[in-house]
Amino acid sequence: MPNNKKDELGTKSQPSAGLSALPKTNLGFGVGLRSQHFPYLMNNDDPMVDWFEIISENFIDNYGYGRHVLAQLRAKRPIVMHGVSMNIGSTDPLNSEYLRKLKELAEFIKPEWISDHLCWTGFAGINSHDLLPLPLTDESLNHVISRVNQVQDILERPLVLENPSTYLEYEYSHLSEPEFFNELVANTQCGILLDVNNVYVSAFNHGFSAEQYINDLPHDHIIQMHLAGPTHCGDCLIDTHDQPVPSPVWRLYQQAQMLTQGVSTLLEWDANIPPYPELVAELNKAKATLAGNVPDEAVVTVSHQQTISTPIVI
Amino acid sequence: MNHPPLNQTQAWMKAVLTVRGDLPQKIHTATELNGLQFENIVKTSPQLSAHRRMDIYAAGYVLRLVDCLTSEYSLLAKFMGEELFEMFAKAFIVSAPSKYWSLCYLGERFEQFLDETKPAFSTSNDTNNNISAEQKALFDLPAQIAKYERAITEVLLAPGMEQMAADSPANASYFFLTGLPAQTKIQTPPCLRTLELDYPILPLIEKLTSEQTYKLPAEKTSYVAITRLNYQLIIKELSPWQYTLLQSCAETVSIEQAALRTSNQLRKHPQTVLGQALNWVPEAIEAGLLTYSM
Repeated sequence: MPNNKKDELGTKSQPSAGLSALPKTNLGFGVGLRSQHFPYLMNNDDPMVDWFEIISENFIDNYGYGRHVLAQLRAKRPIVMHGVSMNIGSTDPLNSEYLRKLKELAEFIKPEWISDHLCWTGFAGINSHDLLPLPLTDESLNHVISRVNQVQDILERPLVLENPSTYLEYEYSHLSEPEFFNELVANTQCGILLDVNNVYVSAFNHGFSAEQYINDLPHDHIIQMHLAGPTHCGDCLIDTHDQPVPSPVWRLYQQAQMLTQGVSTLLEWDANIPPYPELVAELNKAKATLAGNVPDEAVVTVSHQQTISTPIVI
Repeated sequence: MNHPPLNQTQAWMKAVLTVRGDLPQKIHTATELNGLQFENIVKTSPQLSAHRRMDIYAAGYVLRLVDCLTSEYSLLAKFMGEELFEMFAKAFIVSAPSKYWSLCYLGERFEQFLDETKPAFSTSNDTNNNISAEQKALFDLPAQIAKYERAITEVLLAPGMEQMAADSPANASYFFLTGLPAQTKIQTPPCLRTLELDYPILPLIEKLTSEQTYKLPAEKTSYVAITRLNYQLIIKELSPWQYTLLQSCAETVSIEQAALRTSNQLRKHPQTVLGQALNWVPEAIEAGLLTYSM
């Protein structure tokens, strides 16, 4: 039953009493499901990974081949739904149509959990299709707490939120992202998807310690990690998801896995996507890292400045 | 701590992303609309200026959506050339920012945009403009190709007939031999799109797909059906009566009723159309243009 503890603004500051517990299953090592790999996966019985993560929006309103592939894979491996359009930080009303369709997809897939990002993606009905940073203020925190609690009531399960990679900070932010996450999980019981590459990117761009950031998070709420490769553009790091995972990110992953005592690992690769076996080989470096063998991989550097962060995954 | 409310910050940043101009113009417009001063919003650092930080988002917003349109309209991009396509795609994104959370709908109005932005003389009957048929085709064809590619996107995503075992098109083969009773109920599947085009573009599409040199088609109304069978695209050129018949089958009707509606609309003799329909419907069922029930 939904918790009716709402303040005078109609916000919801506490999670519902009936909210199910955060899933703690370590799914092992998985990859993001991309359409470029459909032929391989449909022609080979063994997907060579423990689980898959899908971009939810690619399968909502999609009744074509993608959904057919998904149904086949669901029979073989656990699936996690990862979204990019919940717009959890926006001051626009929650999009009930989106949430209804997300829930419908969840009923079809029966995912292990549903995640999205700590960000906003649109305002006044216009969608940027980007993961835009929030000012880290008390107002934003209370707003996101209320929205996460509402979404959890609608989806009838805990929501999992990912730390975004960011390129700007607001002059008036007065909370660190770990402080924001600590308060958020305490007031919603939501989970955290820790993207160690995003921590690396944001730490470089804003000049904070990535190691300290990871130390300061509420580790018992981290249920999944993302790995990806960024691009060095001279003056900043961009979260391009189009490169091998570099050594500094592997080291952060090693640190975070130790602090969380082991959670599900997911490799994202969204542009210049390699053949499936190469993708799996990259994922398997995570196992080597956990065994103490951190891969020796430099961050790829480019000179131009037209690199797009988090490319669209279709 | 005194700071702008969250909704004002978001209104400001949304303006920077979506208004016209280069970054300084965008920031200026956002400030005029919203009252917030850039230097009071975005932190700067010696390594990365506030402008550069904002530009990553502003440029990324456009590039990301241009990439998405290029992916959906890949043949159009080939036809127009990368540079010209990108120019129109950027103009479209600025003119019609995305209002839907799904990127599936980003390009929904691109055909309309291309049609509305072509030079007025290309649609004029005024022969004083002295443009050749080839020049007119060059202005007309982008919207025509966009219409075709949008239909492809919709067909690939729509509910199809893959799960409709009872009415599977394969079962229709039998009727090639026996014929179908005129009372047979028929309906177009949700994944069918029928297009009325000003040009017969299918040969052009084929050449663009295989990256061969092409000849511009001459202006002439043509009809195309696009559907999906076993997750494969099926593309058929239609005659006018076939197009009209399919249009009349959006809801379940008998072949007889569909033929009657078609004959009324085209002012043809009902028996003639019924005869044509009874001959063609089994083929249309097998091609995934129609479903049927007895």
